[in-house]
Amino acid sequence: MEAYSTVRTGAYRERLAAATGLALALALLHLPFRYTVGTARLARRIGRRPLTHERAQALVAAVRHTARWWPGRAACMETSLGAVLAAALLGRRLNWCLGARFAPPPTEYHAWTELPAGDPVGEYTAAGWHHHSALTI
Amino acid sequence: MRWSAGWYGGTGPERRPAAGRAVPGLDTTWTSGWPAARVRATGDGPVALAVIGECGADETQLHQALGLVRAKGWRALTRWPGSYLVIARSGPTLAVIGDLAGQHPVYHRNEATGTWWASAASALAALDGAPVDAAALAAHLAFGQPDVLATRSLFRDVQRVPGGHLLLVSPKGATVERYEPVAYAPVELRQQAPVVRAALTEAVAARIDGRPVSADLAGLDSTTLACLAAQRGRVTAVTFADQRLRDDDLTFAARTNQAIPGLAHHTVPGAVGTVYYAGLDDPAASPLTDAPNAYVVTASIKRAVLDTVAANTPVPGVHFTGAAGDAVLSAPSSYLADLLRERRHRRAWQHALAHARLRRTSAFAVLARARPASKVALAEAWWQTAADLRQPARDWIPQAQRPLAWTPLLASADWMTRDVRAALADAVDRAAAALTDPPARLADWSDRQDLARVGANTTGWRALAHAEYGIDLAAPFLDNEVIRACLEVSADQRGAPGQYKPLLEAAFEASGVLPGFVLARTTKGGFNALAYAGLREHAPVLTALLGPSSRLAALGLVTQQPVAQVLARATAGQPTAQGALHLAVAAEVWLRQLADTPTTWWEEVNPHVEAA
Repeated sequence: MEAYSTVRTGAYRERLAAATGLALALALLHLPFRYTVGTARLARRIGRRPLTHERAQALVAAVRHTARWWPGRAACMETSLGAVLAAALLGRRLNWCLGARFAPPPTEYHAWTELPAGDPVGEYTAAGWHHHSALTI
Repeated sequence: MRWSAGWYGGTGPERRPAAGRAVPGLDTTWTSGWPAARVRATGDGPVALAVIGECGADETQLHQALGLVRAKGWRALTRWPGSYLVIARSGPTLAVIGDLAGQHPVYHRNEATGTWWASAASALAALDGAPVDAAALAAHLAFGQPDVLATRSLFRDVQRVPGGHLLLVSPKGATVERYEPVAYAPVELRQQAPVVRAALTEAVAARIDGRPVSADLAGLDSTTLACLAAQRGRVTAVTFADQRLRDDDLTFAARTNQAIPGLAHHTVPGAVGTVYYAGLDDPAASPLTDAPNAYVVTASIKRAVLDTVAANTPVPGVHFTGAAGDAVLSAPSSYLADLLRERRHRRAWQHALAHARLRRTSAFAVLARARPASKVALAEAWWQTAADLRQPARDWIPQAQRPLAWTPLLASADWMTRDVRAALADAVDRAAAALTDPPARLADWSDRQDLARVGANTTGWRALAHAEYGIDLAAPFLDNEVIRACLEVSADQRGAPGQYKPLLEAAFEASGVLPGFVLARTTKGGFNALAYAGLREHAPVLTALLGPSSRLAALGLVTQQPVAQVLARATAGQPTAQGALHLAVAAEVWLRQLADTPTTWWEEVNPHVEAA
């Protein structure tokens, strides 16, 4: 579940990247979707170095925390793209996944980030992983 | 069933409750099914007092309270810990006082020669076979707020005493009188925290009497009770942990068990059968209750928990549940409408931002949802509700997408026939016209209604635990003093987003009662997986239950098509009107039980026995 985050995480550089990444994501999602996808693909080429799971968690959480003051919508779509772009700004790489979540019901559209090895980041996986990704960038 | 009743009139009644025991010191007053230890009475000439249920007052306190009865200080009689019914007589005046959560409801019937009162509406209806009141049942299904048609019970000719009121009977007749203020003067959360802690501690202590103690160890609320009970002795703690739930209750329960010495922890594994809507093909399998209750739907899960308790305690004892913890410790986002009404725009904005994150939407959308309700008072809101009922039925969208309302129309309202909707609209119009001292704040109204609903439902769980296991269910969050302690903190402080149950945290931080990691917990288990599994699995039973032979359908309260749609959507794993279906199924089971389970409520009074 995307929850309301009250905990500040990440180092200063990460928080700055998170804020910039989220701002970019919010702007991008107002444009036609092909630009969003194009930018996400570009982000993958910029960010080449791997990211540890721990830093990835911190980055995703930092984006969610930054989103607390944004008056518009800042749900899974916005924060996951924000995290991907924030990683790119730091020269790191995260995958962006769009798909559906099946459990617990009801089925919902969902967006999340993954490490290139395929681990979801910042998602509740304690009781298994019941997502299906339709598009991974 | 445990119930109490009494007669106030010139001549003695011709009937008395079947297997009823007279309450000492009070003429023509009986209890039925209550053990003697739960019926305590004291008296002094024309002044008498009895408490029935779990009451924390000792003999001395009860006796001293006779002075209060003499002075007619009724509210002071409701301030002991526990959950109980009070019957007080001061000369010719008789007061019957239920509790704030409707665990001990009061009903009455006025006859030519006097007044019958009882804690069970079905019993009073059985005096002459009064039928179910279709409009009142429609209100129950459409609103889920008991006090809209305040004085109407679910039976024709049986009067209900509304929440926060008591019944007064005197030679002039029966009246209801308010004893609880409509709203409390708000107290700062920090200042109230020790009061909440004391109230909860006393509520738990009042129920521990040497019998084995067990408790749910699941969410924050039940864990609090389990830890409080563990301070006084050994507690058999049980956690229902089903693979399908995907929550972290069990993780926290295991850690709590490590940290708190008095707990003996047991896990209740889920099974194929422990889903919602199991076992409904035989309505007679659930114990009869006085009103529809939501627990018939989840009975298989409750039985699994109680089986584990029974297997691990030598004799039946007391089982603590965290029911109603949510209702008193947090608050629904409807308080945003009050912030807008009171022009506290800055706070409204800050809270709307946080609620927007929780609900995955924008702050503007959250405020837009709250605005309509902030512009009307309760009576106007009801006139609007009545007008909506006269419109054609709506298509279903999630309740969270509809504007906030004082009395929201649930999806079940759209399943009724036009005639029933029109009759309900008329009843709501009349209720709006008759409204006296309405609450000014939406939160004050909805908090009490939520509590009354939870209270009525918990009665069903209590009946199941008692009838099938001999276990007494304890739900301290529904106690008068706990409710008062919690609701004196305003809803915008209790329900402040960004902190999960701040009132509980303030009450128990650094107290050593609860481990710190429990108070820091921000997650809550959800039963959705089992609700959907049950809907899929038992769809044929539900279709039959609410099908052409349905008693609700005969009253015009459900129609076929919407029920079929709900089940189809649930089978596909899509969001649907689960809450409305849950209400309808509970009501249908209840109606079938009423018709198919003959109950002997009364017996003829034999004057020879009376004299002896």
